[in-house]
Amino acid sequence: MTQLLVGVRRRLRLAWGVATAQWIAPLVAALALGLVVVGRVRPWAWPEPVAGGLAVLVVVALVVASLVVKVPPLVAARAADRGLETGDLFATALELESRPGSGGPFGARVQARAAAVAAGRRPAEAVPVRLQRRRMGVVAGLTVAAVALGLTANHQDEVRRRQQAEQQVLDTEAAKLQDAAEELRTATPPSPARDELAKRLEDLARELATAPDVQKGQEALDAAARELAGELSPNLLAQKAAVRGLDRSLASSPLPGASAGDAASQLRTAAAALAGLSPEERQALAERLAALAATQAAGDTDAASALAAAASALANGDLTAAATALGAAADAQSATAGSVTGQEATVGALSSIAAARGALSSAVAGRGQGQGQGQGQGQGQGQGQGQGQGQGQGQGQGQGQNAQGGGSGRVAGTNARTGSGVGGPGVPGGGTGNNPSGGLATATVFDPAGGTDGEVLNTAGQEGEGPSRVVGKGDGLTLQNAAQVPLGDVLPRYSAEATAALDRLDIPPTQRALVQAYFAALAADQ
Amino acid sequence: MISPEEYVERAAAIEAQIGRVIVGQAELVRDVLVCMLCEGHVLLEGVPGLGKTMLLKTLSAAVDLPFSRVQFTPDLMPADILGTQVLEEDEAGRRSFRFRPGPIFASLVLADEVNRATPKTQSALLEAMQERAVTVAGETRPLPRPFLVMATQNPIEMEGTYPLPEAQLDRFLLKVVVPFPPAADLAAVVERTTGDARPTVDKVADAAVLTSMVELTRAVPAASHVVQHAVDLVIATHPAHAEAPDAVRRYVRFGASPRGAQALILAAKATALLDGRPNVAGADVRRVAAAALRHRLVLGYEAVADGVSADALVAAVLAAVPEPPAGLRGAP
Repeated sequence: MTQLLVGVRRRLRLAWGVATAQWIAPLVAALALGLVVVGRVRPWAWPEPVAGGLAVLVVVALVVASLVVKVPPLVAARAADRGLETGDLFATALELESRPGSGGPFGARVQARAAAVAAGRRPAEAVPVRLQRRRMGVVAGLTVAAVALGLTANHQDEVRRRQQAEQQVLDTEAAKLQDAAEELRTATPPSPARDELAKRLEDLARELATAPDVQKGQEALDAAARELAGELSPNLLAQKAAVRGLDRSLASSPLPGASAGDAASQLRTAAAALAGLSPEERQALAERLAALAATQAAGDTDAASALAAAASALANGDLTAAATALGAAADAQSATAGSVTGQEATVGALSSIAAARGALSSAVAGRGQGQGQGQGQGQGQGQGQGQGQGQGQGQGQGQGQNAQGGGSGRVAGTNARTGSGVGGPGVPGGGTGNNPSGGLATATVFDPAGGTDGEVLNTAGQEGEGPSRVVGKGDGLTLQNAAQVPLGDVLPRYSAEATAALDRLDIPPTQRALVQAYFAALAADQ
Repeated sequence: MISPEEYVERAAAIEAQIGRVIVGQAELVRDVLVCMLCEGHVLLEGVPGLGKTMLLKTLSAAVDLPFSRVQFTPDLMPADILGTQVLEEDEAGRRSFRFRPGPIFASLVLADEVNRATPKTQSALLEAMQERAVTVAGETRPLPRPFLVMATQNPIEMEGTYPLPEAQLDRFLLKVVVPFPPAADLAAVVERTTGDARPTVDKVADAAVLTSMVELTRAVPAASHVVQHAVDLVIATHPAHAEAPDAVRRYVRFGASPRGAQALILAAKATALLDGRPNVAGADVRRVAAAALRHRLVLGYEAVADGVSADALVAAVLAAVPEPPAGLRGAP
């Protein structure tokens, strides 16, 4: 009997597992099917994996539970009694066995009969494993439906793939922001402002990595960019251009008495060396300072004022006042340079954010590549036609490397006679892309304010009231005239105007940051 | 104590002797025999002419035990059953009271149409059934062992009858309903009783054997879950209990007493032994459930109005309380 009951206990585990599986399988199959259906109608990525995982988890749990389920001997005995229809013989025998002497005259008989009945019987006879065909049929049907639905392509799969791609982009951009934060932390010299900025970037990276979708990520980036952009001085680019320009100017052509060093130190050295200068040298220095003051007017007004005062005092022969003004100019330049350095880090962070924003925008639009930034230079030509006064406008567009250029042309006819003219289409101009590795320090750019008259365009006028041979005069701009000026000369003004325009217009923070980063990069190369 | 094999042989012999007179009614005979082997009183209920009295007379003839029969009538007095003190005078002229035992002082007492006696007389009999002793004139006199009252009652002709109170019905181990015999058995009855041949019954057991059989019956082991099943069945007859089926809640006023659970197990033990098994099975309990519980249910007026019988309610209880499973999902 003992041997039979041992087998029955093993068999009961199997029967328990099968019975439990049959009890729970329809629920699991229905749940899995429901999840798959949800995955068909909603663009969620989790329903189908959860459905598969649920099925696997339940199977594993059932197997484990079957192995560890407790089967007391009395339960096995009762199961054997019922399965073999022995009239509770095994259970009674087991109880009498556990209570020696309690069976009276029947104790030995019960044991003997139990042993006799157990002989030759198999556990499978005692505990048959019953399959409920209808229930299992339902499970099979639900499972087939779930698998078929799961394997059949639908439009949500594409949505999920896109979401996955977006998530990858989010992760990638978050990693880039994390790298940018790390760079800020390791930048020398150490700065609490940089550390704070790095922490903000790390927080933003985490927020980006956990963003549910690209739109939320964009919103987070926009918010961060808005916050950082608010901390920038509107005049930063001009300040930066002024500071860098002064440094470069003095580095290439040091002030008298100062052979090396940055601008502030040269100014201080020059102040100390004023007394030793000859009148001619003083005059030359005064002119030089006046020129430098002009370059600082847009970006560093304090330095500009001080330099102008120094130039004036020097020209007047007041060496003491000149030295004082030069010291003030040096202090102003140092202060502005520190401010620029601090805000450069912010601009760099904004640039990283803008890059991330651009990448996210590309992901949303389904584009695989980003678009470069650049500025083109174009030239337009127009042709006026008419009698009397004619006007024309033309536009040209240039294409540079990784850049998009733009040009403009203008034709203005002058004639005392009345008339009208229509400008012809502009000629595409040759664009120059923003190549960071290029030599922008020596580049020249088009300055509309500095243009002179271009070639004269004569057009045959229509017959009118007056003499019709008078032609219009155009001042179309060319690359060869005075409108082409060194980039460093106009960059502070361009930056200031661009910043002012950004403030006036309703431009997204990321785009604003993009423009600021652009001018910052130009200024850095100057 | 006799062996289980001899137990089975003796029981089979008694059944065989009864079978000489009683045609068919195997279950009825088995139930009555179960009561005898449990030393429990039995109440037979059936319409007149079904052989209730004949069955009990035949049973008493098959065992060598003192037998008495009392025909219960409304004018029957307790003393007519228990006995009385009579004044006697000896040869010397001295007078003294002497107890003259009544018919209750027998091992087998046939109380025919027990519901026709007055409650006072019924009470005298039923007290003796419970105490297995009689107290007359301040003196308690034990009744012989084994002591078995076999009562009959007629469910019709209720005019002039005194239905047994529930407390007294509880004294009967089983209440056996005598069914009308099937046509084949009825034909055999007619042939057997209308000829000139009179069947004879041999005595195949005596008091000692019967007492030994009773002791052996009580020694049959019952597993704890089998006893629990009997308890569950009894509990389910109580309308206030959670396990009671709806029919019980609606029609039963009072459920079976603890004697009901005792009767279930005891009768199941005898049933198991008679089947040649050394232990009680849950099926044995369920087999005797109707006979052991039907007279222990106190039905409400609604049951009477709806024509719901106690047997139907016991069936509802059996349906509501199945034999306990092994206790593990997937087990048989």
